[in-house]
Amino acid sequence: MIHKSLINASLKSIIFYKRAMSPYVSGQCNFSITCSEYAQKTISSKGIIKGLFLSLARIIICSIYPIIKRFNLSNKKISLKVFLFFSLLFIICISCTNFSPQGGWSNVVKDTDQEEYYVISDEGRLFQIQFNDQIPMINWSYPEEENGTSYSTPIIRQNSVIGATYKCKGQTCTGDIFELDKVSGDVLWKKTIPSKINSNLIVINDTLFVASLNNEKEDKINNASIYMISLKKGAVGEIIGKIPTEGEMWTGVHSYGEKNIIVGTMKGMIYSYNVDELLSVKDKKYSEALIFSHKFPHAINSPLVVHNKRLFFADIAGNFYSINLEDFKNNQLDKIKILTTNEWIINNPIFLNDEVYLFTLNGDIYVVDFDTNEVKDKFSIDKIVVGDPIILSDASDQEFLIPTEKNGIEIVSNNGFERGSSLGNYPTDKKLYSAPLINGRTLLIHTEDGEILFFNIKSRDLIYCLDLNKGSVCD
Amino acid sequence: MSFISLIWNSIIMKPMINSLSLLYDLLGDSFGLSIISFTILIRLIMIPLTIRQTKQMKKMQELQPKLQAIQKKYPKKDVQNRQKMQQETMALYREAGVNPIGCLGPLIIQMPIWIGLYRAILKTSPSTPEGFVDLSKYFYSWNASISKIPFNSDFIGIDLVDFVQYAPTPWQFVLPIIVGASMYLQQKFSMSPNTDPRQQQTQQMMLWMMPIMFAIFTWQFPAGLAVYILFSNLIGILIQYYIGGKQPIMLFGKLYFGTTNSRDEYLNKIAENKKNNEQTNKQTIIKEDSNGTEDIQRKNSRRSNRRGSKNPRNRSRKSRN
Repeated sequence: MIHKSLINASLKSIIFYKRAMSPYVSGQCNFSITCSEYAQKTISSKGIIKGLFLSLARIIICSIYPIIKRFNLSNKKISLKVFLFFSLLFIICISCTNFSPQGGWSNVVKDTDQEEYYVISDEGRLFQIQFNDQIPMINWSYPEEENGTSYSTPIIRQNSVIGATYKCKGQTCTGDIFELDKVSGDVLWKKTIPSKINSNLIVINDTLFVASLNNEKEDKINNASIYMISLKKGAVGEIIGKIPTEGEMWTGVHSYGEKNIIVGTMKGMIYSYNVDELLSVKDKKYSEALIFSHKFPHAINSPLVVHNKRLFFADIAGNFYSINLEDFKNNQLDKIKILTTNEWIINNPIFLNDEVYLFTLNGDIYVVDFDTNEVKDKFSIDKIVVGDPIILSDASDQEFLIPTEKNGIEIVSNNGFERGSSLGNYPTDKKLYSAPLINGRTLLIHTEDGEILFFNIKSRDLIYCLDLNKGSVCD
Repeated sequence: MSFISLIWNSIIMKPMINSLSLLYDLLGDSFGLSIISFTILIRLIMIPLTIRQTKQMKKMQELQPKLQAIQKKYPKKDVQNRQKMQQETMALYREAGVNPIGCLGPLIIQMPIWIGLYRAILKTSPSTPEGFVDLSKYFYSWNASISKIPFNSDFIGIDLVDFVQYAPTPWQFVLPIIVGASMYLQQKFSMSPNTDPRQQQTQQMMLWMMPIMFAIFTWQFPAGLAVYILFSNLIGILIQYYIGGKQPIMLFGKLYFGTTNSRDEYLNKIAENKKNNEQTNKQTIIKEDSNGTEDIQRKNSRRSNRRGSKNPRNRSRKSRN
């Protein structure tokens, strides 16, 4: 029935085209059975799918045919034109490809003392946002105009805030690191390093650690380094050290304990240093401050998280590692527990009770036992997850808020048998690569193209939308 | 648009990225070897098409005399004559089983491969976090070679992912030149001496245009794509040589390659062409002469008419005066 009615409809539309449109659209058909007649015949004889396909093919062939005919008749100018046309098409297709960095991965962070929020937009500008009579306003921004892009979350200090951006001109990229005064937004210091900065920064013991990517052409091996920038009085903003690493660090520098840093590289290396010892190292002998290091078979593309003296990270082959730090230090690597997920995990896991929640890039959620690293439960939201999920807990309910790349923030239950079922979402059609921020009754989300969305947590309504780059309400 | 990108990704990008990474895994972590073996694979798949194309080319050349006859039949270039001429040539092609689309086929099929490879090469070693996230979407779930990321793109001192213009100093100039030269050679091998002087001219032009344009394009390509085009051309030359019956080529007035038989044939053809050309040249000169004289006569007659028409008036005026 449906098939017949479809055929009828298509035939009628063709007749309509022939009678009403065709006389005005085109002059005269060059082919003995016109394309519309051909379509009528094939659709009525061969069914809708085959017929439509064949007639489409016929239209395409007919439209190329005159060119080919001419091309073949070997007129010099026309063959040149055809050739130029194709090469132009080729160039256009190639120039369409956009591989420039987009940015907009910065989380929104809240200054707990004041009601102030900080975020770095995709245009590489750091914003301070305040609430004025319940309405969010941009207090200041640095710099005033577009300045490359950023993937780093701002770091809040007592009276200042630290941010990092980078920009590329052709092949050379430079990264800017700066500290701004909280009140006025003035630059306290600014340092430029010859590298991209596409991960988060960290401050330990008045020292800023920045993971660089290799962009220095003279350094032939794909090596990178951890920049140490002093924040102490008297030497503010000075680069006091460059710790070389084998491979680039795409997830940045992480900390554990009180004064230890740990990094994982794209060549599978893990390094851990003691910050105090790093600061007292002389003659660049950084290996003296090394707590442990080890080479793993695959690139490490997840954050390195230490929780309850266990280290967790994932590699590019989809293995999730868990190991006691003491065992790692003592080189008892046979105690590493590996869970093979065959999926990428590039965000932070969530630790709850005795369980670890892993969120893979493809939207699978693994519930893993903290000690044994074995899967207890698994469910899927089937959406791409890049930003860090957070947990929203009331007295009775427990929900995960998972920022998905294209489908807003997914709400997933973690209660009893509802566990793993979707409870709807905070909708947005913008791309999300950052973690949401819960602030009382509102939820703040930073989108990839520089908008801050304010949702009411309970009603899930969009209360307000602030376009950072324009400095006003979104359209 | 999303539908087009879906088709594009599932038909070209995904198979390309997956096969490149699989080959990378198989061939000892060398991106260069993976691209070269990928080229060989593509060329092998396209062999039936190449054979068809060379056969069609041969047939077309055999049809040349008949085509010329048709062209001579309709010397005047008005609309009706042109249509008739085209109809007859199409009929001729149909009889001989030559498909005019055939000669455009390789170009049309190669185009998406070039564009796809251009993007695939840049995508396999992402420079931004989004690119990194994006890359994982292109891998099939069964493809274990994803664990080899990041790929080592260094190949005999060239970074294959980097653009040719940023390659180390000898290579940034050498690569475009080799690509252009290989393209020139490939065209030389696929073209045999043509009998139609006008076609010969276009052939000559394409022969120079293509390599020069490609050499310029190569400057903007990632080095990996330049390697692909280079090896694609080299393999193309080999295939053409053996399918086309070991035809020799003429470079700077000297014959290279080919068997003794094919060489003799080649020389004979060139001699014939020369004769034909001379004859046609003479004919055209004669025709032009005759046309010229006709034209002059016509002009003269018009002038005389005008004079004739003007004169009586003058006379009449004069007579009135």
